[in-house]
Amino acid sequence: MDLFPLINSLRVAIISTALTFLIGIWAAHGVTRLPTWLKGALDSVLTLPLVLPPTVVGFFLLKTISPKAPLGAFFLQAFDIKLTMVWYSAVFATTIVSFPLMYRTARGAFEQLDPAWEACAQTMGLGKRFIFWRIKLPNCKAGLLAGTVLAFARALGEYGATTMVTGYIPGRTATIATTVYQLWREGNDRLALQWVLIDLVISLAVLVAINMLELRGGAARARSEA
Amino acid sequence: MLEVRLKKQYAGFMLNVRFQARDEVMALLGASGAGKTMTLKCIAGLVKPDAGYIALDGRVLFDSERHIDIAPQERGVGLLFQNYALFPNMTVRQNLLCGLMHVTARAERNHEVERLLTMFCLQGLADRLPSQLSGGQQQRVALARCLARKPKLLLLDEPFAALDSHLRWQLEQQLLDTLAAFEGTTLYVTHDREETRRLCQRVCVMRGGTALPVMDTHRWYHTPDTQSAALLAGFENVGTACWVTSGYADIPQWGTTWPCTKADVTGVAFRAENACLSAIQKDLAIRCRILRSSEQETICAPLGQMNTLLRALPDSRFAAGDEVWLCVRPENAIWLGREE
Repeated sequence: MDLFPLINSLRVAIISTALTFLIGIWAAHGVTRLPTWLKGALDSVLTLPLVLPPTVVGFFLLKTISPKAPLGAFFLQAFDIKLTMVWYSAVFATTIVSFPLMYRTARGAFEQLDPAWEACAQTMGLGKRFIFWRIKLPNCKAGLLAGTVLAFARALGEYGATTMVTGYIPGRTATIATTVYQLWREGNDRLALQWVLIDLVISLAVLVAINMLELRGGAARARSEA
Repeated sequence: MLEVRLKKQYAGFMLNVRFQARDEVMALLGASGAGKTMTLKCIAGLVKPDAGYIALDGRVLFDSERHIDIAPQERGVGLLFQNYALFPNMTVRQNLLCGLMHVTARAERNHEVERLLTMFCLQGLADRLPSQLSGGQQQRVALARCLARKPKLLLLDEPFAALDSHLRWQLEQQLLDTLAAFEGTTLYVTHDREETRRLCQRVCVMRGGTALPVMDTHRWYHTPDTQSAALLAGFENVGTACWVTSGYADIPQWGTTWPCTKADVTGVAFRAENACLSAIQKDLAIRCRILRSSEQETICAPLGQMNTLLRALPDSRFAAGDEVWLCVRPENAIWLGREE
């Protein structure tokens, strides 16, 4: 059995999770500091990929990075780099689709922080950087981890947008999700089932991890409130 | 010396504060929603007033006309939050170290922490997390952290609000020691009159966002000069009075006329603790019927004025329904003047 789809899925999910982790935290932290009206507007835009069909995300992506689209054409001419139909095209798709999960969980975690901590730290002479890295981040660790795991799970399972920008090239762009579909279409149910089981095991592990993180976060909150 | 003049407009609320505080403990006293905490936040630099001027020992912290607005980090003002705002991810020692980041030498910083731990009796707790401390211990850590930076001004926002009442008295004694050793101005936000009397030399009463003129605590508590001042000082019985003939004031609500030498009198006030019940008329008296009596006080109404309630000391000799004289010694009846 060729394990390429597993390896490809994992590398795509890991890279896109790393990206959403950074961008999601940055966006969430930025948004919580905005005035209410702007917060609402920006929040809707940033959450959009969560509610849109992934094929719509894929459509917009193709209109941006395909060789005929402006950005894709530019990369092809300037660096001779193709942005679609290669394995890392999936990174663009999964990053966008999983971003809202990281962003929303992180925003919730930031909003649960006691605003007095930041205010108090300021009167103590502590700078923005110290406050962010040493006070805010550590105190929403559980929430950020939960968001990360959730984003990873979503990235791993992404199909619609991924298949539109990568197609299905065995050994080059195939992921678990696209492989299952391809095998089913070919009538190779036995192999498809093997991949389904692999995916089930990974997904279950991820969900158990989320539950454990949430339990730990809840316990910590209960302790600090008691 | 702290000088504060500030204005800030909110939806349906106007903060208008003006006072000066010396090197003393001054109370900012008012009901919740009077703007006390907001005033502290403006002074600490956490909230920007619309207009005003704040100076501490001659150093301008905020001046809307000259566009001066010093960052909270640079103000040298210590603010003790109502919930203490200890950083939950850090131990007591680390929390204190956060207040000492301005000290560059590590050895000196550690030495400072040890000094603070000793000073606030926290030696055994240095490696505990805030969640593992009692309310009183948390307060001590927060106070130590506040003083670590050697602020010139200490802002205390209802420091006892988060504690059980049986803990308060002892902690109050510790706080009094700390405040006595502190060289600088302390603003003490509270809604508790008795706390104010025990801890503060002067009082700035706040009402609906406005700060009233600063008063000496004794004068504020014992000799208010207007009806609203009497209510704020906690006088339970306040009535409207007018001068009738030379030497007398008529108090229609209480159905009585009392001797009075203040010609421009507009009201009169006395405390429940200074009002006793009697079967015979003596001192300044009001003819009343008892409505309710309890272990703590007697509630009665002047005859023919069932809507006016008066509060007096408890007296087991009388019961609800009895007609009695409510008597006040002349020196305990405070005659009030016109509102400013």
